Amino acid sequence: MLSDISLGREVFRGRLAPDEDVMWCGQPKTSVLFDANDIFLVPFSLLWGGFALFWEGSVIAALLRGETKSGNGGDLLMFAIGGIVMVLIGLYMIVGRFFGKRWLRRRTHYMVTDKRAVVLVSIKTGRILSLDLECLTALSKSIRKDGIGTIRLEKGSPWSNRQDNTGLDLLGYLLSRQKPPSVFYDIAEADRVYELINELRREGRTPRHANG
Amino acid sequence: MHRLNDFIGRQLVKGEEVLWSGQPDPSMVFSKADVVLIPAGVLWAAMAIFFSAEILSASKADSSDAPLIVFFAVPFTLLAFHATLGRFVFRRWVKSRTHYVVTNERVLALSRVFGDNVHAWFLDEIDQLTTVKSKRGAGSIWFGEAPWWLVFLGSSVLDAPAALPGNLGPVVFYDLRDVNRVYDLVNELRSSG
Repeated sequence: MLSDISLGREVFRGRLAPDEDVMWCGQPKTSVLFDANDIFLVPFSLLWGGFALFWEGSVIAALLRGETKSGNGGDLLMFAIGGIVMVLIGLYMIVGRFFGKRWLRRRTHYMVTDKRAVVLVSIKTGRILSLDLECLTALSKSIRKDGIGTIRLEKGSPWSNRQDNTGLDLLGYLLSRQKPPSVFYDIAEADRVYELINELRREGRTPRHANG
Repeated sequence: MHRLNDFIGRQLVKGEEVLWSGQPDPSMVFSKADVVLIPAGVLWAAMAIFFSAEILSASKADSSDAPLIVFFAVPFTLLAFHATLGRFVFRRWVKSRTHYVVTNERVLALSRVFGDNVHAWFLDEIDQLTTVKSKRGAGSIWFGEAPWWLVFLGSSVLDAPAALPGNLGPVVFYDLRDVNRVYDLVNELRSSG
């Protein structure tokens, strides 16, 4: 037993087949804030937000001095209103997305049964992604020194879903029927869960390449 | 018999048999994409120096601009350094900490860069193989569908920490001395499946 399975049964009640055994369940760690995507996102958001704040500050300062038109005749009040939108986007990218990420993580549960790997995001009626272990195409992991790690359950695309697990994906969940990605992000004992999934996948299918 | 270090051994499941293992060749310094990336890096560095010099001289006139210099010029210059020189050092370091393994069940790209990373695809789920090689037979191999730009970038993908194994699409073995050997082995395993 790797974790509190009874809690898993409670969270996934009504979503399990009668003969399905829960082998592990868990949640992403809310304490982990950064991942590899942040190497790009943090500097980009600081530049965006920094420029937006600087620009908005300049416009508001000009308004406070009593000016109403910019050098090329533009309406400073309209500039200020437009600038607020850019500032809000910048602030969300710099700070807000981490709160969004934390909020999403509290609503995310992962489960491995003897048949499936399941990701549940409890927003509205619940967004669920279920993968048959026998049909997994790939299994990758990135583990930190403290044992917390991320497990990817499918072949990933090199271009799509770069916003996953950044907090920028929150709008997708709130405004559309976005499904969770096939990834267990930042779970404890990731090595053991990875081994468990590998073993269950092998048990579920006959090896096709015995002895090469 | 293959000599495997503990790290590789820990990644295998019971009964999994290693048929080949290797590392990217650190002596292969450049990738095809460097034809574009090197001039782009030099151009960036020139712009960074020019830009930094400009705002430095402007800040001498008005010292209140100093925080702006730190905010914009420093990251710009650091990126320029990475784009021209740093990325080659980083790539070499990543290569030294990367191992590639073919077993009777999977292809695995393993690296110990910012934690332990294992990028593994199952042999029977690999639908195509792509290789790029030199006349001497050295080169890289992509397992599964790889877009043209990923193939073009080659091992320069390793320059970006966000693109470490697991974060990008297919499993790739970069800069092997004998790519044909791996290609033939994996093809044989796929067809025997």
